[in-house]
Amino acid sequence: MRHRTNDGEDMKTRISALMDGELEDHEIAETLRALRRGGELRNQWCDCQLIGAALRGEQGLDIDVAARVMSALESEPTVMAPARRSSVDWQRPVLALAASAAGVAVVAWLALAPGGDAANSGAASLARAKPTTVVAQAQSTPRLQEYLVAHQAYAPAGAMVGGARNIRTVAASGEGR
Amino acid sequence: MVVVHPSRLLLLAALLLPLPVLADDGLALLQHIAQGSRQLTYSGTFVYRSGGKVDTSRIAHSLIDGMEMERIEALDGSPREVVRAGGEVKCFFPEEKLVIIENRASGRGFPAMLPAGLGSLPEHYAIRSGGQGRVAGLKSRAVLLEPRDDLRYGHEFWMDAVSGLLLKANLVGARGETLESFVFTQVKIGGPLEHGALKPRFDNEQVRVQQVRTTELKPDDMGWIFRTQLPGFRKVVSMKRQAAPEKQESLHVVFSDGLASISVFIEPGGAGGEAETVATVGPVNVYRRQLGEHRVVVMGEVPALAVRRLGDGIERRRK
Repeated sequence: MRHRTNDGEDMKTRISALMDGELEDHEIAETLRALRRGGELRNQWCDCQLIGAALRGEQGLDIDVAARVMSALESEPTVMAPARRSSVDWQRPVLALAASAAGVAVVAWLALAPGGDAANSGAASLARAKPTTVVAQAQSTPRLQEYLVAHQAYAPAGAMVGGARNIRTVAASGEGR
Repeated sequence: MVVVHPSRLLLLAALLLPLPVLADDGLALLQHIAQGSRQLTYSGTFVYRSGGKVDTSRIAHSLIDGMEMERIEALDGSPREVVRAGGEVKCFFPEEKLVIIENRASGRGFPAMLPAGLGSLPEHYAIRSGGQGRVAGLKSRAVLLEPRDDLRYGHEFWMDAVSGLLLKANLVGARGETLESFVFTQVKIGGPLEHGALKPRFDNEQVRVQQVRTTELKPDDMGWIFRTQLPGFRKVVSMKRQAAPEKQESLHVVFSDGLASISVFIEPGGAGGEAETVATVGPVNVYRRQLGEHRVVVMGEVPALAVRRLGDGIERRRK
């Protein structure tokens, strides 16, 4: 247990450094790899936060760092998506976005569930995200949230589910399948 | 060339028949659920589970002067709230100081909004009534719907045997896995509701309001053609929508088979040559495709195959 805690502390430091743009490219890749390895840690400090922050251009995370994080993610698609490596070609572009189906789902969740996890400041910041090259592909994420709301409003399953119609809108978050 | 799929003829035939003839026990139960969910006054706590994530929410619902009122509040994580009054849906995100307001374009409510009602469901789902059980302390009856093709998911519903209120619902994938589930853990059926149960809690002026404006469109005004018809999915509504005055208008077309629904959004913009993507968001699949100077987003609680097929069949109407 102690070992893990230390790892955790070390990781937090490295993530801070990463956010502050103090890491070299190879260190970014390494940090992301480490993040993926650390099970419990990953839950707290998961890639999602990082990707989300990168996409949102949050708190001092400058565009350059964000770009490097994104490019590090892109160069390592397989690690990000251990569970679902699709052999189907049309899913490929998904891998290219935030490097994996998982990543994309996470990115989408950030957009769709602004209130997602406690630490996640969500839609408002997403909406403010500058249209930089980094967010270019994910630019429509605030729209995704908006679209999901619109979709739910018209989803006829509501006739059946009645009050439960807006559940998905309320539901905080979830893992991509 | 337009090919009329045999199932559409069957569907037409099904529409012409009076419901009771078609309705086996399961379908009748579904009708009961649909009606109960709309008309009943109830409040309670439910658990929503999707993709390993669990959320607990509180709900209150009532039909007041013919208008459905409802409020859902997330109890876990950061506060979120959805308040609905008739066709108006307000989503409050207090931490982001954001409210999204969505108005249903047409005055038509359920089930009138559905062209076929529930009558055509047996075309695309094998419906049977399941056993009896207990949910949230109430005696319930199950209805199981198994899809007849791979363009939709399966459903399992449990309803209160007395009132018809839906107590539990599962969305089931092709391998029998539960994609999404919703279940009441505690529920009170019948009024009166607690005072203020339907009022938004986070309603204040300190928020950014995103008011969405929608205008219903005639099919000919759309400017787009849907080449691929998914069996059983009919166009429910098509409308122009504008999320904010400064934003560009986009098109929103809703298709439904009576249970599952697919939304198509077409908006100007997006870089040319962007690759197509499918993303999975809980039980919802989202397909994005660039079509010339427009971005097409197709989403629905249906298999990826369905959103992709529908999305790939979209073409600009030639002037």
